[in-house]
Amino acid sequence: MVFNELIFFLGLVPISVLCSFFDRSAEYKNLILVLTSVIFVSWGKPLAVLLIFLTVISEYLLGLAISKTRKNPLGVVLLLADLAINICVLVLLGHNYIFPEGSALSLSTSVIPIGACYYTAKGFSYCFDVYAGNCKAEKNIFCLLTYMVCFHSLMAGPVVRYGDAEPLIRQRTVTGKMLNDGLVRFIIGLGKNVILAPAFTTIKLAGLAHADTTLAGSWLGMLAFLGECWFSFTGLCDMAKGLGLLSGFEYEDNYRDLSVSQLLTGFVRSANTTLIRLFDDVFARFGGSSTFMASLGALVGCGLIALWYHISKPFAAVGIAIGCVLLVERLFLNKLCQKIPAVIKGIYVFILALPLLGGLYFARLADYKHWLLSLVGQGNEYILSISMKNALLGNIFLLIVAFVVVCVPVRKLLTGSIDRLEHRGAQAMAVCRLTKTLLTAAVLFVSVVTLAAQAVR
Amino acid sequence: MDREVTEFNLESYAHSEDIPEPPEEFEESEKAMAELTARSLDDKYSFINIVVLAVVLLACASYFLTMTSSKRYGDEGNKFSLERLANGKYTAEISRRYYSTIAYPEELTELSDSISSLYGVLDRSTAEQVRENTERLLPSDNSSGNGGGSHNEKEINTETGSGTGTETSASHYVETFYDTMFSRTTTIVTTLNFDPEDPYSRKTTTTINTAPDVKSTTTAVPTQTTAQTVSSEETTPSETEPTQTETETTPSETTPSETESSASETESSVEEEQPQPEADA
Repeated sequence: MVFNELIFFLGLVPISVLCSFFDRSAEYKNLILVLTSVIFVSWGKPLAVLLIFLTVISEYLLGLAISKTRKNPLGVVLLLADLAINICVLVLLGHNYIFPEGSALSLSTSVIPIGACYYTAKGFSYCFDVYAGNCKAEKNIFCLLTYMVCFHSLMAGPVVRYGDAEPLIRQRTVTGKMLNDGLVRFIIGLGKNVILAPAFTTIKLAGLAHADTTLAGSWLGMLAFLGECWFSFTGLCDMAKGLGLLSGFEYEDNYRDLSVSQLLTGFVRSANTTLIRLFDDVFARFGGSSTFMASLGALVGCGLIALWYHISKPFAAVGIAIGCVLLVERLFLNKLCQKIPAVIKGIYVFILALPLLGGLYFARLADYKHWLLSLVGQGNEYILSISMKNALLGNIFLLIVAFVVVCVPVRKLLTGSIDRLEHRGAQAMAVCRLTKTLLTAAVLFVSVVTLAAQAVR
Repeated sequence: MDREVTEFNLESYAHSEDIPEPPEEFEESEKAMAELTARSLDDKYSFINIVVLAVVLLACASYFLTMTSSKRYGDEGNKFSLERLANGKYTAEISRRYYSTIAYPEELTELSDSISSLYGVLDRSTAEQVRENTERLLPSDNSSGNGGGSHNEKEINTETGSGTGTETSASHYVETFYDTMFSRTTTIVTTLNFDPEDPYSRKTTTTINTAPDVKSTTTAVPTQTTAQTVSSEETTPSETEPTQTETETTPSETTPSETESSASETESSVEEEQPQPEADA
């Protein structure tokens, strides 16, 4: 099951939220949350849930053992054992490369589509935090089970640390404001995922999905690919945050506004911030805090995170390439960074990010090479194809919306104006707030209709 | 105290400059009142917001729960058993029934098309118009193989029994996810393992597309006995269209959450086709 499935947000979520209001106790809410999460995770492959319960037991036992041996070398060994278990789960559930399709051992459609990555990251972060002394080992396995299987953060994070989640697992209340904010945030995420991201998919296909490339198609198609990834990911993050609020959890955002102020390093760190912080913490703990070690950590971390996304050669290559750039930036460009004008930074990031991240799109090196050449006009017969032109014009409204969402100065200008208008008086406030409500409801309605139409086609 | 205040003579200050300033509490209380009013308005509109959104959400949920076929709720064809639950067939069937029994599918599709034409994503009818426009505007692009929306198809038919083979090519348009058309090359290789004494000779059609690893294979039992008929049948544009699996495979490959893996996946399907009566003619 995924967040943008009708059966999920029109079936499972309302039932879960309504049921959780029947009792105020945290234990009851946790029980509802665990049951909902089990249904969410096991939909399609219920037997594999046993594997998840086994990993929770292993995390529980290892956590207790690490808390007693964290000052001994045995603690490191136990932490490494936990890391090995999580990598096995990741490979088994997330990237089913071991057993071929159709074999008896195949877990063909991955049990947690993209969530295995976050599930294993959460599991490892718990043991790491216990080892580092950031939180105590949990003695109540039910609390740990709630933390581990909680479906909110399975799709696109955030990698919630147990120290942050534990107080809310033990005691939480859901206020009207949380319900309101959660619902709005969920709908915004749904809109990004169902309406905005497919618009970029259309443009990406028009630009890249054929052998006869055009100059504009190569550039705009790859930009659209990155836009599609960004809106899909941030949409899922928004939905996760909204679902968390509906259940009484306040998670931090797993992404931040795109920025070029820290060159490519800042740009790459805009997405999956919580996961990157986990890697930073691990490297800082074991690798020291010198600049060189931190730079080396960035290189290794980029490679590992790329593999964590997808175990494949292109992802590994892209990860290492970005890691090399980050290493150079940390070692040599860090001091110059403040003096470089923002425009130059923007151009630098754009020129580097597009070819590097573009490697994620291609499965074969030859295709990637062909695309790189077409970026500089090699092998192109035309500059712009009709299909690309139609895709751009057909989605122009959504592109403007996407631009406003991504471009921070424009967005701040717009939201600032609306806020000022709201504070002019009761009537202005009524107009603004009711318009917002109507727009949000329209996004929800359009998303539902779009998903339903896709299902029946 | 009240008495003292009532006896306070304000008139004595009427023409003097030292009129007492109103106490600061007045300003504070006014600010507090304004803040309270704003907060109460905020709460009021938040309440309206949550009510409206919850009503829309629950209305949609109840529509999909109640307005669909009653078969979904029965266990006819989907009996609960631990084995079926464990291998996922039970839940998969629930999902399948949920989506296959959505009420008013045509109306929903039309509504979706109308909405998408408003906010920009090309719907099917618009795609058709674009195709016509493209054909009219860019006739030369098709010949060069680089036109917007053009589809260059190369077809190779080989017959193992007689050792003959034909190669044809055709150009037409491909509809993809969200119906955007684009140019790409598809090669259809049809192989007929023909044995005159074997009634179960098989015809295999393989579509190789230059879009990221889209490939499909169709196997059919032919009824005719000459390769010539097969090739003429296969080169008819109307017959080659169903072999394009891009329209069906692309959405699954370009699902936002699986974007990264879309380029590396290869989909292949083998299905049995009924013999075409026209092929004998």
